[in-house]
Amino acid sequence: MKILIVEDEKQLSDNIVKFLAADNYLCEQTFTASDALMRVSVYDYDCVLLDLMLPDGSGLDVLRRLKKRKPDTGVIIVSAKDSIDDKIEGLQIGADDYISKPYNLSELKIRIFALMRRRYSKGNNRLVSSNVEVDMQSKTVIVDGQAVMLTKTEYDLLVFMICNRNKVVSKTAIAEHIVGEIADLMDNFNVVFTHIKNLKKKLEATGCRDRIKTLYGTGYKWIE
Amino acid sequence: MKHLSLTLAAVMLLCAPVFYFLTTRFYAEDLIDVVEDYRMTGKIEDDLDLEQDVIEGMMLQYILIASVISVTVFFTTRRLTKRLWKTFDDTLGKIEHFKLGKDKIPEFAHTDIREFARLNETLAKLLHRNIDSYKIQKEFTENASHELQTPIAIIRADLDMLLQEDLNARELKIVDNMYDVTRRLEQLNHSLLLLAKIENSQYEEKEHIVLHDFIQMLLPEYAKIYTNSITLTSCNGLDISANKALLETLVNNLAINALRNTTAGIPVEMSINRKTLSISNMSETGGLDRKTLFSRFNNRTCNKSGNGLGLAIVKQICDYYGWDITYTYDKGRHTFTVAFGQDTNKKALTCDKGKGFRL
Repeated sequence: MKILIVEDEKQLSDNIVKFLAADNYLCEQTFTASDALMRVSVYDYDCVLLDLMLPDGSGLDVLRRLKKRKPDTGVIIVSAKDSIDDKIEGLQIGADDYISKPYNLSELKIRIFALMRRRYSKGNNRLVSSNVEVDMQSKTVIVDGQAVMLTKTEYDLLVFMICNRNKVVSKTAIAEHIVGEIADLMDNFNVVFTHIKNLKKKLEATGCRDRIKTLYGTGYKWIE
Repeated sequence: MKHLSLTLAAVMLLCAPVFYFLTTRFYAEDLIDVVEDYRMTGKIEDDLDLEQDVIEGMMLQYILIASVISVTVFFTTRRLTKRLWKTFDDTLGKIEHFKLGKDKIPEFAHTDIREFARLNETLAKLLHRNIDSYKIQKEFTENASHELQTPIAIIRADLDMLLQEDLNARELKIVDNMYDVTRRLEQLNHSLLLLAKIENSQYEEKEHIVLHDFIQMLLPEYAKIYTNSITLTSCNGLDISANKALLETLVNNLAINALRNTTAGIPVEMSINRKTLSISNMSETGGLDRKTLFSRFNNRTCNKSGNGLGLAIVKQICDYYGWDITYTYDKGRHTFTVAFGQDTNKKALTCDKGKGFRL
């Protein structure tokens, strides 16, 4: 999978590359709108991660040109949390998804995963991690051939964990993923602890042990 | 002065016939008789008291002249002062009604009076400077918050990377703290930006919102993060016109504030009445200080978890729409009531009290 990262902050861009590199994503970086335009017209990408605030122009212009020439490219726009108008305009032009800055890398990863799945899976809707199998079409989870009944939140959590397999995801990232924007108003992470606990319990009941490793209440890791 | 003397001359001139009439018909009448008698008979009567006539005449003249002058002076000065202070009154009225951040600089009337012209000029300059610094301050908050978002994003990504390293318990604790602080920073930044944007009137888009349905939609969100429940009683039909994002922030902040502070197990009560929305919770803390309740960063004694901006934002949103927010305390029950102004539509007046919703 080839991904173009259009982000003017080099440090942030580097971290995205490092975080995604482990999953066979081939990342290219560009820091300006003009360079991004040049690249998207010359090369083909599966996904473009597009920051809307670039030093030499708006990401929306890049998006417009890109969608005109190569409408099939998947685009995730990155915008500041408060600029709802930009988000809406981006989606109208043809972006597939948006993510608000500041975001967690693990959240970014699942967004890219979801986009790739929608665009390229062609009927293959299964997410597999050793003996755990998730059918993303029917939203069912099967461990060693045995169905596990999960609540919606637990299911979301499981997909999030598996998608970020072998990576530590922070509890902040989990919170934001499972409760959405209201996570801003949370006082504590009891929600995360509870859901992780319940998910672990349900998985253990089917014999799927020690998949989720807890790191002192700071983060969690799905071990494959 | 010119006005005064001109008016005086004119009045005196107009009064001349009266003077003439009085002189000839009243105190000089004896004198005329004497002259006429003398002409006819050639002798003068003895029993004439001319002295008394002269005194009376002089008194009369004096009184008359004095009253004409004072009446003229009185009316001219009154008219003059009115005209003189008209520009001043005009200026005063304009600055009395001037609101920083809402109005443009008023156009002061032109005046020939040098002092007032100077006053107007100085005032205009002063207002200009005020508006400029107000604008700069507002823009600064907004820009600063915007600019802060990128470094925060970088820190977050760095922390995500750091978390992938093989950290021991002590190090993880530090990373955890840093996550917490970054989150707080983010929330603070977000709140400041929101305040700045409301002040800069960037939420002009309005729509009609049925309050009951709107809150009903938000309740499950709160249930995700708080175990305490909210009961919503409503007399249907209160529909208000507001910006959706702002209204959501308003309800969120009030609801979360109540959920945070309510005694565990006692549900927070929300009720929508004909023109008001009230949210109340029970808490062991005594009544809150009304003076500082809605000011920024001032109200953190009872509420350690918030960033001290929640109620300030609520107040700002209410001010923006001209709604009224009040706080009452009664035996452990804290109630915030938002009274929606003229924007509300009173569709349904029948209150269906029995209709309650429970999460």
